[in-house]
Amino acid sequence: MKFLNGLKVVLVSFIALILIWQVVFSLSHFNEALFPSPLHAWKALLEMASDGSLARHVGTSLYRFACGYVSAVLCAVALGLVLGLLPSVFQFVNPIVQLLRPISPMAWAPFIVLWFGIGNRPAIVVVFIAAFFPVLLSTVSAVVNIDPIYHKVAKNFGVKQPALLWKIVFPAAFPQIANGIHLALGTAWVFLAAGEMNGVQSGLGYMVIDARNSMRTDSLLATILVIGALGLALDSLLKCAERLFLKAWGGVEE
Amino acid sequence: MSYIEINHASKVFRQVDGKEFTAFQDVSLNIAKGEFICLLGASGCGKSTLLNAMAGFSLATSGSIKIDGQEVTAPSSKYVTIFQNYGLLPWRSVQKNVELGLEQKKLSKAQRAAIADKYIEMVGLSAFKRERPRRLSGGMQQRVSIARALAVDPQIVFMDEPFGALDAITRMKLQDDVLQLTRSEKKTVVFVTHDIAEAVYLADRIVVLSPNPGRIKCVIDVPLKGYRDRTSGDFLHVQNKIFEIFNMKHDDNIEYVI
Repeated sequence: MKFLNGLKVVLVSFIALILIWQVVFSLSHFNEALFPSPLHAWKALLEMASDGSLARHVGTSLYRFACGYVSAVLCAVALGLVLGLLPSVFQFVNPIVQLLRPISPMAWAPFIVLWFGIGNRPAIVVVFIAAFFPVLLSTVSAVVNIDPIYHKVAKNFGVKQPALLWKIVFPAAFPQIANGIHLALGTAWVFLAAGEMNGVQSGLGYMVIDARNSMRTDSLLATILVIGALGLALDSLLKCAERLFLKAWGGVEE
Repeated sequence: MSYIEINHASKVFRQVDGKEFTAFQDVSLNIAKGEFICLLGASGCGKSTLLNAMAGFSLATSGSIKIDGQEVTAPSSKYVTIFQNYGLLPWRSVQKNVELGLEQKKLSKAQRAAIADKYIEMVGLSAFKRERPRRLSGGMQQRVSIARALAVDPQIVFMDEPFGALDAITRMKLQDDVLQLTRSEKKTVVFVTHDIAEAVYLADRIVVLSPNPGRIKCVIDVPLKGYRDRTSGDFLHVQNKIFEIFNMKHDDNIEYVI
């Protein structure tokens, strides 16, 4: 019931968006080729879907995203757990992380192409960089902020490393780590399309560039909406997964 | 020789601004095996800090604390602490929480489960052993933590205001349970509380602490052996004695001024 209500709200807000779009289109003096109407975008979407190019590009993009995002999460969580337990090391690593973090992954793009070549790899690396830092920092802070009572209990019952890490530290930090993993999804998705604008001939980012080059603003807009819709879908999926994991974990305090 | 020997122990914290803060000073106390000791005092009298020093979490800065002739240097599962906020692991079921300490010993899975079962039953939670702690009430969570402590068969149980977060009725029930469990398992107990009635109900001896800095003000023997009645004359007598120590008795003298 709650789910249906939520769906209703989302539908209403999307319909409102399309109506506003249509009204702005009707009132504006732009040429159709500069500002496509909802109907144009819809037709372009159907065209892309029917010739199979949409599914192919989406599949490629999702594959790259999965590779980059999953490997970033695994590396960042592993490194974050270690650094969280070694504050004396982290104080030296932290300035470096703070220096690298604000750099857009796209700024590395020329180097990425030079080092990793063309094809899937550059986009994967961009997604990796985009997801890595947020997950790393939230994991470190999750480990540092573990309720001290868990450490006391562990010491009292003689739980030592490495058991301490997987019996106490990781599970205790898990809710905050999960939150960081969730937040990083959005950032990584934003950079996926950007990462596919260089050195590749496939994927959603390439579709945007391709539509631009052929002056097909209707397919351009349709692609943009597909990127948004997929981002939303991935986010909802991860939100559900996060909720299930936290429930299995033992429930969070209300 | 006493079981727990505290000799002129003090704990000084250096604060962020460089000033020193003395949590407790020159505390000497001997505790015999099997005794139930309550550390009683207002907040800020260093009673929890003293308990933490005995349990090895935060050592005394001078003097010595020995358990069974050995200087306390680190926590050990030979003496387990029960905390006010339970310290249960929310991601583990009741059963797995109780097994935590057992996992560090060389026991088979079946042995662990059997021991855990025994203690979960002892605290009356067999029906909940597969539940996660968050599904249980505060009183039940504290029972789990008691079962977890007793499961590793410690010689001493340290309790740091364990019932501070519970309502009065649950608290009295748990006091009964703790008395019965620790007596039947023959544990030495050091119990921190600021509740006078609780101290009188539980303790063989009550150590009254005074604040700024924390010191032992006096040690009171509680001559109520075995079954204790919260409304009996003897009980109230001991309680009165403590009220007097805290200067909480109001004199009925009326001064007449002519």
